[in-house]
Amino acid sequence: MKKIIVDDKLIEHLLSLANIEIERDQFEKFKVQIQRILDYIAMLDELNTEGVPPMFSGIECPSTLRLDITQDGLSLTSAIQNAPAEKEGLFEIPKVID
Amino acid sequence: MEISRLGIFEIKNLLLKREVSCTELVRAYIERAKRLNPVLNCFITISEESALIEAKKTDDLITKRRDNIRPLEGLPVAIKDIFVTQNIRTTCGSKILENFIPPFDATIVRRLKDAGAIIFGKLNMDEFAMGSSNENSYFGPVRNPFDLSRSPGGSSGGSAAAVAAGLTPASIGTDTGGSIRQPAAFCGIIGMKPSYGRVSRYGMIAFASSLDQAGPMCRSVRDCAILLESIAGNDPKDSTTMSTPVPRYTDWTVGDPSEIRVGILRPEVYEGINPEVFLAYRGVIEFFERSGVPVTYIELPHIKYAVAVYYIIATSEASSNLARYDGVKYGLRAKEYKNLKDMYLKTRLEGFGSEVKRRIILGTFALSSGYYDAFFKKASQVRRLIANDFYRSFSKVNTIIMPVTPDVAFKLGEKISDPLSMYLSDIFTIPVNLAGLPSISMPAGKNKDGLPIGIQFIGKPFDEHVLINVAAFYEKESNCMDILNEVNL
Repeated sequence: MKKIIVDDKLIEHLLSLANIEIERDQFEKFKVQIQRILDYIAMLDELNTEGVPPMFSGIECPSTLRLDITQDGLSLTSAIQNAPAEKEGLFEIPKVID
Repeated sequence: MEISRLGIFEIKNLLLKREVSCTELVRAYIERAKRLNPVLNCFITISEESALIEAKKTDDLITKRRDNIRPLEGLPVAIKDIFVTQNIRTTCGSKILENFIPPFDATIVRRLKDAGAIIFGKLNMDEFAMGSSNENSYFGPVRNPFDLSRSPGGSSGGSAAAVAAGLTPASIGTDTGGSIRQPAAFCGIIGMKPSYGRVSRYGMIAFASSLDQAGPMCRSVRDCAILLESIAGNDPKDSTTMSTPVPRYTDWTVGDPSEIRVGILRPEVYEGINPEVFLAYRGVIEFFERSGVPVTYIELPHIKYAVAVYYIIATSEASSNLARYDGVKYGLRAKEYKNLKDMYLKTRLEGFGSEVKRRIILGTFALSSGYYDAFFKKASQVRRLIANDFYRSFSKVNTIIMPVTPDVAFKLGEKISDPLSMYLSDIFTIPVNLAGLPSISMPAGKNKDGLPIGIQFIGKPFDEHVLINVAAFYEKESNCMDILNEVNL
């Protein structure tokens, strides 16, 4: 893992990927903190992990799937009861096509 | 009515002997919660109306019949605000869900209700369970009942403080990297993180899906067994729950030392931790040795990498899980925006706190093009090495004893500006989550200032019953739970 330099460009790229904005005064703080965290994480380089199968779950057993039987889900009223904006039973968002 | 020292078992007895009605009990807890919340800030929501309606139903039911009484019949219980509760506000400690009223119950909530429990409140926590101090809550920090200037730990800090101060007889928390065990240790109570796959995650708001697990937080090992028995087991709505049968955990509360084989790490591993914590840990080992329990050295050479691995895996999963908060289907939507993209940005800017943003950025980095192999894949490989270390050890022993935290409860504000130092305080709890193991945290004494020190017993996957046996033996012989008598609020 080559040394990662956390600069303005990298933070801006990540913010854009994550659809996140941060306040200007937080930007510099985050840059320093994330650099420190990545420097710490670089300790993993000490280990040779060639051929080690990655572990992606807390338990490695086959999933216990339920029977493929149709069941009722949430009613329309329940599904939209928390919608910030709703129109005729649909979630309403700003116009995306001109 | 004096309720501050009651656990589940005592409440069950009072109700069955008709010494108190369920309505009186629920009222007493709600009054106590209201009186002490300005001091401790444990509760985000108190669901008084629905709890009193349920209490009345329970009283009618108990009057009508004496048999078929369910395991948690009439038990008032407040739970971490990470579990969705039908028609009761669920915030996950975040502004983005400040007004969210779920249309359904989490499986653990359903199971608590089916066992007869009455949910009367939702407890404070770090936003989206991200934190070790409860200072990342949008609703303000919780205070530690042993010392109000200190943190109760996190992220289930509201649950731990509420149980310790007798604001609820027990609670359910969640543990992704130590969020049940560390606050339990800081507040002198018992907290169990079950094996990954033991308890359903359906309706538990997701932080890091391969690590999150719900478990009991309570005042005795017997209460822990009763609660776990009620919530554990396969759930068709969570395909990661195993169909392995759920033992009768209450049968394992006898505490039989002949079943116990203890593994410990060499003392060098603990260099740099608080000497009082190390002394308490040594005391527990000596206790088991004196009791004739075999104690063996084991090696976990990769646990020193656990925090680094965790902060790649947990943040990666979080960055994906939290993408759903976009202001469209539920939760906050920013008031002013120019277009759809801007609506996402403004909503997330206003709705998320800084720790959540920091972790989303970090996780986005670890998953982004060009960095995935070097970070996420590498971390997942080291995760395997950590898990293998544990599995190897369990061929020789059936419980590993470790401290829960390197230090006792820290002062509020002490670590909040230094995220890395906060992360490092989870060094002994994180490896357990990475390997998917069960672990129970309980008090092992106190420091010179009277602050609780925790110890954890770690077991093989699905060996919660073994841990309950170990914990019950230690509890019975050490009187460790007497520490809760020192809370006077």
